[in-house]
Amino acid sequence: MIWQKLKNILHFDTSDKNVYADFYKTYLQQFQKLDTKKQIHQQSFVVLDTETTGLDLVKDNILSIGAVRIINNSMDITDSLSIIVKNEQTQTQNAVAIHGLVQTELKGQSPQDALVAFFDFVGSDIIVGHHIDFDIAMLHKLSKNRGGDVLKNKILDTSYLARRLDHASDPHSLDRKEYTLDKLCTRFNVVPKARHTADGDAYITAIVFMKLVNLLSQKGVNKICDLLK
Amino acid sequence: MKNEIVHRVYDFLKEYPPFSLLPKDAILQISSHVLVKFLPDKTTLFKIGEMPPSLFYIVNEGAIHLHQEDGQMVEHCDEGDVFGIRPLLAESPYLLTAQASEDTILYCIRTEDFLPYLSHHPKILAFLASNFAVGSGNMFYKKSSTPISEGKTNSENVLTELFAIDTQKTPIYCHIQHTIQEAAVLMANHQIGSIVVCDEEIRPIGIVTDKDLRIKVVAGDIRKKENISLIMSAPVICVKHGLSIAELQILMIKNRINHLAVTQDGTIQSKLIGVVSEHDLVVQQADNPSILIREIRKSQSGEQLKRVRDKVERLIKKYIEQEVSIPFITQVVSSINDEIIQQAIKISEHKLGKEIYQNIKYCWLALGSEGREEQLLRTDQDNALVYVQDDAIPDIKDKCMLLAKEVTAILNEVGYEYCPADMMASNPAWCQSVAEWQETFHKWIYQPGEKEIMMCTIFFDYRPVYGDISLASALTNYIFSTFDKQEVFLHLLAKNALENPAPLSFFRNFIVEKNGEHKDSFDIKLRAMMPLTDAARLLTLAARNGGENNTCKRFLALADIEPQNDELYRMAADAYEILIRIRTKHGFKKGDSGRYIQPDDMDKMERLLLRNAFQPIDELQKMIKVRFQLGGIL
Repeated sequence: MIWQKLKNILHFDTSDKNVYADFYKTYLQQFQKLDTKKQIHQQSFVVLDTETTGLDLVKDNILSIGAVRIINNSMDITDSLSIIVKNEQTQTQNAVAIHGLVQTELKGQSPQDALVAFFDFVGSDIIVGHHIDFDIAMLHKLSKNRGGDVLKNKILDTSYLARRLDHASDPHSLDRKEYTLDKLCTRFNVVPKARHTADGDAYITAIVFMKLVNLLSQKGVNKICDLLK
Repeated sequence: MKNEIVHRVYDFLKEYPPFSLLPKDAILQISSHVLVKFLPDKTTLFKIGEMPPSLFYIVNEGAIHLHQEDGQMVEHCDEGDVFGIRPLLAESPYLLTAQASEDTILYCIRTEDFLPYLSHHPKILAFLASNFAVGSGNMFYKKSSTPISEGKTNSENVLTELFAIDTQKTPIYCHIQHTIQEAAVLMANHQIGSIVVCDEEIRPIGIVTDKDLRIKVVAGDIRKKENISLIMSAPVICVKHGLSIAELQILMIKNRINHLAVTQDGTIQSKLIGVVSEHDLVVQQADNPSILIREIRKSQSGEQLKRVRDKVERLIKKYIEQEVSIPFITQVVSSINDEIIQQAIKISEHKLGKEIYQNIKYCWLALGSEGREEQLLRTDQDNALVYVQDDAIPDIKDKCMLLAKEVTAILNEVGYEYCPADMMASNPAWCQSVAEWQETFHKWIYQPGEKEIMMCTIFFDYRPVYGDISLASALTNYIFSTFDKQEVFLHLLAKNALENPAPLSFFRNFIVEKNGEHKDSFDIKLRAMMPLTDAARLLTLAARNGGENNTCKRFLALADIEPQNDELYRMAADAYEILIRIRTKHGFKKGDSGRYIQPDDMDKMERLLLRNAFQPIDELQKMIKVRFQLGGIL
């Protein structure tokens, strides 16, 4: 996975911008640099989650993308994203077992349309997710396969933020397995409903994120630059 | 595809009014436009005077406190509670401040999504209006024993008892110097049956009626040339102007008189401005307490008493429908209930031999709800008898029990069913001499098991209804003196009082019965009334404040004894009134005691009132826990 990430970064740095697909060109044109001096409540965040056919970066594909936007501790449901990605590949039995998505539900949008919608939705916001690395890597793969490239947005992992809350000086020393979304739900009293649907998990992650940010702010994390540390 | 977030919101909203009153499509539509807001603990959502955005709120998780300007909390909103609905009903600034009392998630509903449903769903409007009223601080029903203005009530359904009677017609009176004859002439000229005797400043001193003239002058040996003061009854019971018919009637019943003098300030120290006779009242109404009581006194059998009690039921129904204040209704009804018991005893004594019972000093005690003067609908009998042991009377206990058997049989016929647990004066354990009762109390208080504590909760609300009242006071004194030596008993009573925790979050946690005949219904007696009754009894006993049994009055008395808890006790008294009202209303609807209520049978207004009534339960129980140091015992 790390190798894939490195490859992505290298790929991005050496690519020719002129050959990008339209969705990515638009994304680059509109992308604005983040003002890290801003207060957290002034910043717009996109909390996302994806569901995939499996956990293999090479073989598996994205089935759905769910995302919500958070500004000033508010989430407007009209401003959310819920996309089913039509998959060319035959889905594996495995994914059905985990996500319960059946063939009839897998109509959805073409990967192309999904990318247009997704990049348009994300814009220049900070992206938030739980164990987000994998989701980002899958999105990058989808983007590159369709003439796009990687996301330039700043990325925050709620699992990391929770560990940072518990052990500010060395968050990485804490076991990742103790910071699953389910465990954080229990801790922050969020009912884990509609788990393993992209939008359901995005909602849950968003609630967890708002509660985490509130607790971090009590420890002096108030600006974007503090949060991104 | 189905959007899980919208569905998550939908699944929540559909459980709570006003959304629960809407069709599925409408709730889904509203859900898809919701704004989810996280409000950390202590964060202010809006302040008094701010113009509301076009949103209102429902608590998804956590809690919001609404405060007045002086910081006093008006409402606690938790899961499922709707607040901030001002923008739906009026374009005016917030009257309350909303602050999170813990980390809270709110669903903010856009008013433009909701408004279209308002006009098509009158129930929703009613719900919001009641919610709105609660938010403004008018938490409870109006308490109107004062005249209701005519415009408000249906003219066919007017409650005559509540109208103030015209007591200001020019009073006919005579001076204290007048002779009997002079007074009689005045009465004859004005065709009146009674005349008030006044001093120089027209302050009432006494009253003379036709009856006095007949018995004392015509048939007696006082001559008509003598002074009027020789035959007058004094003092006169005085009232202020403006009392309702029912209030006047109560005074007459209580004092067993037929005339009241109306004076400027309601005392004998001020000028006479009118006279009210029972006849004046009677001509204005049909089913009225005084007529019912007269019928009771004339009854010679259980069957006749039952007919009167059925009429009483109609009267109560009318009172409840007209939202007459509960203290007033309970006062009237318990006076009537007492009359029925008294008459049942008289009938029984007569049947068994009046001469036998003339010599026995005994007192009939009403227990439970009748003891507390809270019984509106007929429930099971709970009564006891205490007598003075007299060796000169053979088999005195048997004689008392025989009487009790007769009385309970009559009461059963009237519609007060036999107590299933046999807590009746016909049971040898509940028909005891003063000494035996003291021994029983001693055992209860010194060896209090679960059963003994339960006995105490039933028995300690006793009230003398017939016979020698001093026997009841003797028992009370004994109980208090025993408490002084056995404080731990009060702690056990306190523990018992906490056995039924407050069903505080009504919408979230409607505590319904899990099993048995009343599965899925709400036990208003056990869940809501008993915790209040128990708390009132405990605190009253702990304050050694004997003689007051009524739960509302106990709370009001406690408010005087402990001014620091004045507000809580008053809230508790109000809450209890609401519970009686709701229980009685549902009892009428279903033709039973009203104890078990189907949640669906309650309208939103009742739910809201109930929820508010639960608040003081929780606070009282917390106070009891601290005061009786129950941390260790529980």
